Amino acid sequence: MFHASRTAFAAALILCGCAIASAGDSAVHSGAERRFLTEVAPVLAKRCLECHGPTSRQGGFDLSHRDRLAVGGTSGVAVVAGKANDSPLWQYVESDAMPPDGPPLSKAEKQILKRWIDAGAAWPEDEPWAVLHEADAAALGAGWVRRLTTPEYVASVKAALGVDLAADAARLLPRDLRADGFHNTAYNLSVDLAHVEAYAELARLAVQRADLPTVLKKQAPGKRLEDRIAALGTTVLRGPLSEEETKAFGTVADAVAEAGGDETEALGYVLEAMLQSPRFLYRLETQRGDGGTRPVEGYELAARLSYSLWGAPPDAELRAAAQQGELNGSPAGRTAVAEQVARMLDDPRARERSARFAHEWLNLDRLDALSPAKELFPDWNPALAADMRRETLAFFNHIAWPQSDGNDGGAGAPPLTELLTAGVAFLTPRLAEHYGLEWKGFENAVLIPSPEPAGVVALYDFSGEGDTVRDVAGPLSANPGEPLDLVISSDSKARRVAGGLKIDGPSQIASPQPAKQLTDALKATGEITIEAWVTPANARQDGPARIATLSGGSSVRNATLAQNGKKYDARLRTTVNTDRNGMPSTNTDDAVRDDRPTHLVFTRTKAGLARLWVDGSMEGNRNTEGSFDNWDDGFRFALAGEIGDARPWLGTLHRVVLYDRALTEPEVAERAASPWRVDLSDEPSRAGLLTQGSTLTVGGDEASTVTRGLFILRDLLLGDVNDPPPGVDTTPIPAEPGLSARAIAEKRLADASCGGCHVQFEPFSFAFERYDGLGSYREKDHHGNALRSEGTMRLPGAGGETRFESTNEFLALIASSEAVRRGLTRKLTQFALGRPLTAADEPAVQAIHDAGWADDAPYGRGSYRSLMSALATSDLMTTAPTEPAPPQPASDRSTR
Amino acid sequence: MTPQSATSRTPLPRRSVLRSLGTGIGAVAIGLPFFEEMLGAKVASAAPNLAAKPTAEGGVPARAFNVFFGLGIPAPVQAEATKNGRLEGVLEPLAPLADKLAVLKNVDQVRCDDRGINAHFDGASGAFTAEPPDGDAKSGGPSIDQLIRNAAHPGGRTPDGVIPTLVAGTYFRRSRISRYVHSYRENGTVAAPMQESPGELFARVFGAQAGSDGSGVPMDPRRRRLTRSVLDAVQQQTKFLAGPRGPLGAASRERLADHLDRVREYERRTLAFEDEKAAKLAAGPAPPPESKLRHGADADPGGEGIDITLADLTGEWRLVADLYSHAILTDRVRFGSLTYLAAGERIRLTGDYEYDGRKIFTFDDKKQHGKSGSGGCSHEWWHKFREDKPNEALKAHAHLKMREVAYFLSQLAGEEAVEANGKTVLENALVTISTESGDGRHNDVKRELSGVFHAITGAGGRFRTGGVLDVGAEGIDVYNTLLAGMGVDRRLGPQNRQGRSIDALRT
Repeated sequence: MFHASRTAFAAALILCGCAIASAGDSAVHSGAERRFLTEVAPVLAKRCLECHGPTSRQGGFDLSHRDRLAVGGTSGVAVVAGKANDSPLWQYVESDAMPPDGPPLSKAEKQILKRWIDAGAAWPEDEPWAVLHEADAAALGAGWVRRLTTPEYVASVKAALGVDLAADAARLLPRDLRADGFHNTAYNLSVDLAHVEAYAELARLAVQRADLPTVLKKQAPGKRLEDRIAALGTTVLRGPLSEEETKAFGTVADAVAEAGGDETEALGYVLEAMLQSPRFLYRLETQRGDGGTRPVEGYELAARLSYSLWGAPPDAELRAAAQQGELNGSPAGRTAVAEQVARMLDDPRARERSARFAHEWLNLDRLDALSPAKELFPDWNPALAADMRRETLAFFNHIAWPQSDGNDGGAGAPPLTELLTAGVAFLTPRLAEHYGLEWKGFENAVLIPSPEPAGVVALYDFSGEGDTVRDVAGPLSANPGEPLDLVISSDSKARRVAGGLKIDGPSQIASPQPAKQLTDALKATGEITIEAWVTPANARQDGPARIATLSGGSSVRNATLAQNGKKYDARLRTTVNTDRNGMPSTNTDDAVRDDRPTHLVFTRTKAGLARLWVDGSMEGNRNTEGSFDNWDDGFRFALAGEIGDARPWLGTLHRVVLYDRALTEPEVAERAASPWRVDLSDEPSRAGLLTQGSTLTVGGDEASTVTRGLFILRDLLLGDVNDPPPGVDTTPIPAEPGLSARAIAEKRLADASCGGCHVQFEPFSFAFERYDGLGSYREKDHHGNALRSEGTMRLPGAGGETRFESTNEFLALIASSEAVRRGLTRKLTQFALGRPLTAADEPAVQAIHDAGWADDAPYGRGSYRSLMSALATSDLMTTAPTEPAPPQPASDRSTR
Repeated sequence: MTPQSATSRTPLPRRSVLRSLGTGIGAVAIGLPFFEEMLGAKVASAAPNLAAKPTAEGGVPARAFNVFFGLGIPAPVQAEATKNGRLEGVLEPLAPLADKLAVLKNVDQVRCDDRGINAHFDGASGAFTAEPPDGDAKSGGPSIDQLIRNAAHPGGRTPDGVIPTLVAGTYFRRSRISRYVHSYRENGTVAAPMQESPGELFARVFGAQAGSDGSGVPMDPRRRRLTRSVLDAVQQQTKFLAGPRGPLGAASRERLADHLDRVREYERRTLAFEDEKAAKLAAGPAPPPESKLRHGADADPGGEGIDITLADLTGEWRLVADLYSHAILTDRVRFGSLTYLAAGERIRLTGDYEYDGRKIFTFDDKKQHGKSGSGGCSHEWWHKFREDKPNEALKAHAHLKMREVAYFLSQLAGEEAVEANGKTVLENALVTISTESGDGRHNDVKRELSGVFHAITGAGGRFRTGGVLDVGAEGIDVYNTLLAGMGVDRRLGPQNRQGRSIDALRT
């Protein structure tokens, strides 16, 4: 590190002016510029930038940008273009006066700098900020074959055989570990015995569960066995088999035949072999060549595109394009690729892949293990961690795929920088409460339910208009037939609102005919679930007040879910020990909240266990013997009141679902965690990712300003800082009465030995001082210290300090910064490639960045689609480096 | 060297029983299944120059293990514990093994410093590699155990039945991978995935699935025959891809070669020796009881630490140590690493700590720090270390670590560990012991990475043992001296570096 005696270099820089050759206006990098990106920038980054970066600026000199290099230090230039020997930078480096601390530059590093200066010190116009900060990653770059990650493996099996092995894979496969920011980092995707064991078992399960005749009919056409194997291989292994490979799989079929098996069984075993083949488990590409770059075309390109955009193998259309030779580098080929990319981005798998990106980028797995100290957070509910994860994923989806939830407003997709500023959130009521937000302000909140599990027999989302409440179960229905639509009677006090159906007074909302189909379905299974998201008008209404009922009047019923003052109540008639009115009922203790929506579920298993769930928690249960055989199929189904206009329930019905089975506890919990889209545009304390619990918790229980600041610097702005310098005690100092964490941080910034580095990142966290370690908003800490949200920061790549007066102002500032845009481009690119970026990638990354953030980008400037589209058609996708054959064959372990 | 002469020990009984220390600290017994490795006759020869000297009874294979413990022992505390030339104070638990160990003072790992937060990561990554990290999960170079493995076995391929590398440990923080994994290949990637619970370790070493196809039902002969055919096809394809005629580059071929080795290992376990094992397996191997401690992500709740009792920690560790040592004694493994606490050690330990019949300390980190969360974890004692203070809690923790390291080492030094040359496995193997840092205060990288505790065994008489050596050298020179002593040509670090041989280490 260069701290102690860097003044010599600083002084030298002060003495000089700078005259740098212009890089020209062309967006295409010249050879000299490419050399700068691949050779010079890494040296500057590794050896110089710590002290002469955009925020450290020792001696007033910043080596991170061409323009600032040209300005030089406070006394003049450091580099005289074309004349290394006259350049103070070279003089001090050559004499080992720089860096003042740590090892001198190697001969090779020195020669790189000298050649660069002598050749005119070319520097591309665009800022190589990211190269300068990831120069050390060169060794992590291309060259590692990529094993499929667990989600990719599951998707690949599903595509091949139609079998979902997600649960089995999660149980059997070792977890992929996160390295360098993502779980798909190729060099870290090693394989152990446990993988091989798991792959064997999963292959067996997949073939066992597959509808083999149907799969083979579709994937393995042909009459000759060899042809069928070849066809199967082309699909499952994502490209044609060689003759040797076909023979090898043929021996498996032969063995089955020898053992008396038929052709279907033989192909089943062949499939088992294919699912364990490295061609299935890895993304194999030709890596041999002349040491230069080669085009990636055909099946290889198809696999690159599909795994990058979908996290899944090529589909039939993409395979067909590959097979027909359409995916290549010719103009027509590029057009074909662009069309495929556009098609693929319309596919739901692209959304799933983007969610995986967000999950890994923000390390949302971390929330699973969140375990805050009880002393500090006695009210912590572990379910909140899952809510936080869902919140962030739904929010990311909202920005990345606006059309999926009506966010585009006809104006195209927003730029991803809106991830930092958008005034919308996806909250469960309990998460809103945790954050300190009052739900009453969210009148237009819209429920975003998780997909309904199996067994739906009626579903009401209260969409549409008019006097009919439509049963929209449609294709979900386990009991296809006539939908059970309900009619709102003309004298009802019910009106449709953004989040459902609001009942202001006694109303009759009932099926006009007996709900015989529903009754029969439930009688057949002997099980029932009534699920409702409700906001009661008050906690006084009783009767009980019917929320949903399948009954014949106020004293005779099959089943009813109701509110009785502060309690919820469910009546169920069975053949044993209940009367016609379904008494005795199952009920909760005081559980009614009228200030926010509640997820309310009544389940009854065939074995007789009846349970009432409130917000995912079981709050009442009763053992109900008997069956539903005595149910009356002449009863009608009604909402918000009893059949016959009695026992009205007032409030808002947001969604009601009936199932012909009892949902399980995990299913109920999953449903209870469904978020609501909430408009926060008038809420000053919340906007975007950085005000969500998923990111606010990175600072730990004490909301470390250091950790939060580093998170923003490293994961959003892609900046970096070095170790703490010698001589400073970095033991965290706890806040105490009269001394807030902010005050401690400011002392640190004022300390000459700390501030030089901490000023680069810690002030970012000041905007979030009012959020505690778990993301709750407060204006005083638990010591009573007043908390602030204003501050002054230095953005990477930007000169000088910038003042912000509030959290929102801070967010707007960084969202408009080039550093954030570059950070997003590079994170997306790294995830798509499955490896850290290297200096050699920079020209292509720059091209992706320019195209994705262009004003006329096809899907909106900086949108997810635009960036992924640019990425999918970039050189990084359509070309590959090659390795020359070694002079002698490497040790061939396989031949031993 | 014939296979027989390479067999260095009396084979262990068919069904061994491991029993962790019978002191009432989490004692657990495990019944081990029979395996072909226990026959003891599968040991193929190592490169002759790396094996311990042949004797009339036979030779012993090359072995190298890295034993790592979290946080470390501040250099001043090491000095205090060795000032009389004996192992005292925090090093007291190593004293019974002193004649088989060399404790190395003043080993400097400053070269491992790299851009990052502090020396926890740099020091841990540099342990046994002596080079700075090269990514979250990638070291800057190979670890010494792997270089010895590669030299002893061309291409690193150990004999059939010997797991190429075994990495295991008991630790409760994840963070970056190279903070807790301590075996690295030439290319800097992990040499083997971490087995972090007794159950995982048991399965990796002794193969819980042997004899069945994973369904829990023993395979019928037909299914077994067809499964073998499937695996043959997979191997054939993998062999081509891993070979020089395949389309892949060097790094990818190496990965595929690993894959091929694992498929072969799987086949051996699942299909080979079936006849021999079938009857014995009917009795059902008894894997260790399911760990009640947190593992995986649960063990690292956002860096805030976990509460754990001394009994639980010790019980788990000793089970892992027993399994690992048993794998060595049954010649199931010859190379690898074992980790006891790591990555900043985010635990809040409670319990009375006794040693040799006397009470050393009562652990209660949270209460003694007066803080919850990460602030109440044991690692804070290292941050609070001050030379002019008693540092009572830190020393008790360090003493405990040494007790547990000694526990593992002693498993390799007992009667059943005596090999054909009359020495124990501990004496014949190269066991290197190291840790994260030589200090705990993040206020001076040089101090933090200087004086990092190291100890080594004699490796069949190659290195001096029985004392405390003040080596006063860079870790890279120490490690390279060990490699030279083991007959390994490869050296760590920059190839043009002028190295320094630490002659005091050599016999």
